[in-house]
Amino acid sequence: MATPAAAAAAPAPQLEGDIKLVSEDAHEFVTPKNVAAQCKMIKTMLEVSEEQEFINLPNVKGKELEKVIEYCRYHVQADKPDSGVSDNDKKTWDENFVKVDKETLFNLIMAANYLDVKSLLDLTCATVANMLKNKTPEEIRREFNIKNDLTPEEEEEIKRESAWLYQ
Amino acid sequence: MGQARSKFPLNDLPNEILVSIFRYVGDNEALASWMMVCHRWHVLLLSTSCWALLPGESRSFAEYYDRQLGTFLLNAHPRPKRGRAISDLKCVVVGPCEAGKTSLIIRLVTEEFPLPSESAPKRLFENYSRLLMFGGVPYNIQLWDTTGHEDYDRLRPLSYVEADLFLMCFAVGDRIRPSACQGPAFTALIVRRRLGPSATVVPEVCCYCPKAPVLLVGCRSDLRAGTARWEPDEVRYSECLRLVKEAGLVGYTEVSAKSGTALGNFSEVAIMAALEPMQTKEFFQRVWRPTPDKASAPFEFTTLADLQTRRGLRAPAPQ
Repeated sequence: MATPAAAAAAPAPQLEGDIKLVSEDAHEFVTPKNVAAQCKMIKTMLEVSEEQEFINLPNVKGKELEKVIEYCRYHVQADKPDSGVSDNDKKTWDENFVKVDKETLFNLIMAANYLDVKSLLDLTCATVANMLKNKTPEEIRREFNIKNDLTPEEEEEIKRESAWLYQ
Repeated sequence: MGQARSKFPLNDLPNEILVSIFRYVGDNEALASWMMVCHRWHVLLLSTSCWALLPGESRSFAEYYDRQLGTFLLNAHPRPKRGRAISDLKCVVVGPCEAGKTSLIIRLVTEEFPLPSESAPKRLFENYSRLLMFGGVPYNIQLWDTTGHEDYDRLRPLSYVEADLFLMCFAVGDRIRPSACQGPAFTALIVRRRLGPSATVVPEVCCYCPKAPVLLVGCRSDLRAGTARWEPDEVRYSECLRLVKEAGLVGYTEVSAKSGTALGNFSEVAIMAALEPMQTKEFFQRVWRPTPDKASAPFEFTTLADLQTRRGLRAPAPQ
């Protein structure tokens, strides 16, 4: 549904045409500039020099970059006032979008952070928060492979501070 | 990837992302228990505003608070100290480095904001005084400047003798600044006041002058973003309230030495806190949590500790 031609009606006139994004592992993605500009980082780069034909993104792998572009493309379309996409639809789409395995989710967070896509970062953070909910410290440590570096004394002190939790 | 490595290396995420994840959790009990996960989580959870908002907490609390405070001050009649025409009040200003203590004092005394100097000298025994009128009565406020630097831990208490009031300063706007004695440690400190003396400012005050009232002062309030959302770096009203209640302080007031916001209120609150600590304390207890019979009360304030007590999860404070 998202053809590059449809994106030609960009709100900002200087963002016409396509840009080539090159990922860390040398995958190339040709995207309309206004879609790519959803990433604040790319937007800034486009504003600095308009003539460049491609942007190297050394911190993002192709798989994640594809996901990010998919996200931006959908939201450029859906966030138009006349798109007819209801908020509920967007929410469902977002929910399905983050149904990925943990590794991808992690890389997606890093990519969203690096490319500075605020809404995607919020979405992924909320997803992780949901994963964490209702878990005990031990479960979290096991699941996310976190080393417990608290000394027994420190643990005692934290326990004392929040004694009510462990009664 | 090797098997030992987790598919989701949560702790490889930068601090700000981890904090924004915490903010989405919205469950204060879970967050509190996660302080046990590891050292980094403990520090992050103690030092940042990732805790869920309490019911009714919002930006507009500031307005509500200002109105209440105005009414309180209008009706306040502090009794001057006996046998003195001009009441001398000794206020000792304490707090971590770079909280804005000296700026606040200079602003109060000279009504000017001191230009930022590259390296502010450590103030040890500076003191200033200013005659202020409150309710038609003149008060001679002596402001004693101290330094929050830990090298002076032994000397600082020399200023504490016969203090009428302690002004406990901290910076509201920016707490995750790298400087070591900034916000996080301080927040934890106040909570630990109950736990007895250790080598830091709050227990110090509590140890040397157990009876002197302590007023919590949020400095640099011009750094509050003023937006509808709470910025992650800001110290929230509810947190200050929690500290005031848990540490048994007299009250909390916010002030900006730079823009001069609330300076008038500030000196009046300080005078009230010094002369009528009980009355002031009572006011702050009331303003933070309006009585339930007032149907129109816009805010119901509860601390995390209160919630726990109510649910029977926590024994009442051992004091």
